[in-house]
Amino acid sequence: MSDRKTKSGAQKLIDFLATPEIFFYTAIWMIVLLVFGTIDQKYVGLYMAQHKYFSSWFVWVIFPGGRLAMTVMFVNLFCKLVFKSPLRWNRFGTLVTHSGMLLLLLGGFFTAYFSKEGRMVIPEGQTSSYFDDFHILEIAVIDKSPADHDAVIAFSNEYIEEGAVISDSDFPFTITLESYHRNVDLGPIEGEAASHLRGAAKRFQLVEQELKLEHETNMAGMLISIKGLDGDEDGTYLVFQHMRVPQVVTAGGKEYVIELRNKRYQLPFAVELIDFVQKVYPGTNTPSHYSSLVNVVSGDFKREVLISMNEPLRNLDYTFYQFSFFEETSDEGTVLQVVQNAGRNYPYISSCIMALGLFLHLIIQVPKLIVRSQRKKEVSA
Amino acid sequence: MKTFLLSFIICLGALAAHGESYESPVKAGDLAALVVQDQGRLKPLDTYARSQLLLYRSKPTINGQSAIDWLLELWLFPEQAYERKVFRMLDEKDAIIGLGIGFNRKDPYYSFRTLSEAINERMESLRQLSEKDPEARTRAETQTLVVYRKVMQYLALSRAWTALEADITISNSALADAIGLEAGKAYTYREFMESREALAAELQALQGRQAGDNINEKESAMVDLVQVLQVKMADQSADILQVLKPEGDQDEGLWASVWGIMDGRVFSDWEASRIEELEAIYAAFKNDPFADVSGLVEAANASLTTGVRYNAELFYNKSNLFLISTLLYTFSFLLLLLSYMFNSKWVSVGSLACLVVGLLIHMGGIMMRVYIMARPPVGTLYESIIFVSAFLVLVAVVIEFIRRDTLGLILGSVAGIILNYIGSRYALDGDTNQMLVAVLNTKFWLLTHVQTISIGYSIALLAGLAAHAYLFVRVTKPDDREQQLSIFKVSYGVALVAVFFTTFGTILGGIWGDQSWGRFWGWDPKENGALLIVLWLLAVVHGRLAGRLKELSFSVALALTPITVAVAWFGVNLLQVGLHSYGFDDGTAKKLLWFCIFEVAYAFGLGLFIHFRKKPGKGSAGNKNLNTSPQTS
Repeated sequence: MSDRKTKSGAQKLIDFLATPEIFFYTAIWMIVLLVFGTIDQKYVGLYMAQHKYFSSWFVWVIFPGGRLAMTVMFVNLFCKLVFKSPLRWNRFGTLVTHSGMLLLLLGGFFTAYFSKEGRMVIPEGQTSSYFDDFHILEIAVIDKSPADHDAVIAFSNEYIEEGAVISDSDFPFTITLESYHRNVDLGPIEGEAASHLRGAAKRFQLVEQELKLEHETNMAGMLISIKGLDGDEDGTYLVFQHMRVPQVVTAGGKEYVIELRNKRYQLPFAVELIDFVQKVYPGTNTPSHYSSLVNVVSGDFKREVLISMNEPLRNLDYTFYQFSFFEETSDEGTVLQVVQNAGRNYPYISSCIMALGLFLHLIIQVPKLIVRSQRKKEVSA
Repeated sequence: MKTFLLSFIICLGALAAHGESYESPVKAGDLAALVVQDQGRLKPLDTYARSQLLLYRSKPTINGQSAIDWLLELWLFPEQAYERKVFRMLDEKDAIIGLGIGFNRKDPYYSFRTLSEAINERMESLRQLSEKDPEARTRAETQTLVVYRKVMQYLALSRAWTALEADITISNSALADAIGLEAGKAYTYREFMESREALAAELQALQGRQAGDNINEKESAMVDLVQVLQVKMADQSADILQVLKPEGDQDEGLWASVWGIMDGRVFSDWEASRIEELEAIYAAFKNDPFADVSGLVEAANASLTTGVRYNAELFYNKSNLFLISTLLYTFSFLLLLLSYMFNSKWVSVGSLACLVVGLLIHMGGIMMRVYIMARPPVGTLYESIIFVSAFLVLVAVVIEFIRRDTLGLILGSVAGIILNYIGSRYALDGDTNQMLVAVLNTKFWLLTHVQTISIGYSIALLAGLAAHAYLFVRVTKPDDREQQLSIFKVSYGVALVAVFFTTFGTILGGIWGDQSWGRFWGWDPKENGALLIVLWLLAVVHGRLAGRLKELSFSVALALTPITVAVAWFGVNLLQVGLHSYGFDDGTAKKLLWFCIFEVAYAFGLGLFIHFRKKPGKGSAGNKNLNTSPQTS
């Protein structure tokens, strides 16, 4: 007791932050989140549930979300490891395990904040050098006038909100987002179109739809008003994802395409699909194998690689996984999942460390717990 | 107690002997070994027959008759077989009532004849029903379609080999000469088709005749023949049972059924030979339903180039290794009870012997499956159940060898019986040796992640069971602190091992995810299920370390661990979202709920009883200072 009195405020705080009670209660709270977050997936879909329960700081404003719970665990573990782990041989296993766990949570942090993932769609015989984010959207203003390339300026995150204003020195007009919905359908305009409507907005209107459980199948749409265009082009336009005929406007004598699309990441190399193969078990529809034979193209250099289930392609920081495929009357092709993840090595290292630590802990502790019963003589008597 | 045990054993014997026996009019013998292609893999006809019979009857035998004999009887004596009550319709009550057939829960068996007649009367409404949106169908309507499809499949199965039967004869010698066949001799459909050009010429001549013209005997015989062939050709829809290997060295290509190749093609020599081999087998049985066809089947299998392990599979099918191991676990349990009654060392040694032999047979069964499928032991839900069961019993046996106080025996035998029983229910779904979808089709990850997490499941269950035993002992022997403490330590030790395997297995799963589809963790239900077990075990262990959980509350919490395992194992499949789902049935949710209720009632019921019970008297006071902390003991 006297020892406690002499402790400083900081020491008391550290003592508190390192107590196993914090882990105990946080783990129980994580279990509650897990149960609710998993069941809710049936109703709101995996992506939404993940955002609501696990990737959030708070759930329903006041309850701690998964990210907060894991941060608390991290702080608790860190304090325990740094300040409260006596170097005794019989605690060595615990020490190693806790270090591994800390590393795993750190990897989770890097993945949550610094990873990019999306899909790359390549028809057979064609090449692609970008991938699209699964969920994040962007508004792209594309200047088609340069002869050898398209000049693209894209706006995402806070720009995809009602009321956002988009302007840039590279184009002479201003875009204002009048309305935005994450999932829409198109309906015909009844009666005569209002005079300020332009482009597709003259014929169609956006009909808001409920969000689908498979989040990536939602089709976002927005009404934008543009000022600063040539002639009488100023007005309200309609853009939505996967528009077959892109919206083109003219300003300063140049043509610009305005697109609402999945956020696009450029790769420092290209991938060419040579052949996609799907195999099923004979006489069934059960797939046994998918693979994409591709060329990784960097300048004049080509490298042939076979991507198949459980065997991805790794190039620079990027990893390409066999994800899906498409088959249409005219062509077929592959869909690859592309991931750039700064935290991807952490689980590998931490799992080795934790396995070692837990194993050490077991060989130190378990032989002391499971021992020959003292009652044996009594039973056999 | 002794009387109770005795009557329990007698009842078991009576149950085993129960069931009408049926004198089979056929004996398939080595026909069981004929290799066929089904559900994407090559297997002996025996396995195919079993999965077909399971589909209709939910049992791999029918009144003591083996599935392969049942199938042969269906082919040789269809009229007789149609009258047999093969269809078990316990789960299709609404459909049976809807079809106007009386439903009797005690005897829910129906013959093909009864069902097909009821269906024939309602063909139009069934056709409309099949066009209705599946989401809009009522439960009874869905069931009715299930019954309809089963009956149609049964019909197709019964006609699958009719093309092999030499039952077409021409009595008119002029016609026979014209076609190039022998009058009075019975021919198969294939043999007729080989004379298709001469047959077509005769048919054309007949078609040139005007109505009212007199026809001669030859023409009259031709009319009869056409009718016979038309009836025969109606079986062309029986394109079922892939039994003809495609030409070439590849066994893995798409095989054809007997009727599948009777599509008017000119047979290649290869096809003709394969068909002739089957015709020979069929003819032998037609001649004598008890014929020995071993040589003929061997000849038919001779075209296989890769090693199909059908003999091993036949042995596996016949030996019922998992049933034997379950029986041995049951004997082990009964002997253990007897050893408690008589306090006899030798009876408990007998119990251990039964458990060990049962385990060896159990592991033998798993090894046979590994050999047959040439892949690691766990790839499907069924395989995970029998593997978890075996591993749990193995660890229990190890515990028994260390402790020698029957704790391992009771844990191992009880868990072995329950898990093997659950496995046997899943085995009724059909052929348990299934091919794996593309993402699971990887030996490396099946060996690492799937194996580790399955071991994690089994040890987590064992930890929970040990906590059950602890609570039980605290209720039944409140003064025996020494035994209580000893079981408590075991449960704690096993929980630590469970933490190791579940944590490591879960992380390996994440790494597989990273290797396969690019993300370590995606909060998919199956991943969350695994994490649930890990977090639960970690919370329980850390709660104990933090002093939040005392000996009793720790044991109550640990006794609830099987709930987390069951939810992760079976529960997440009920949600049907994510990449891992692999099975769903209606009854699972209900059974899972009952299991959870039982576990909660057991853990909290006993825990509260112990907590509020009148404190033990002085007899145990001397033990109060026993150190209960597993960390420092």
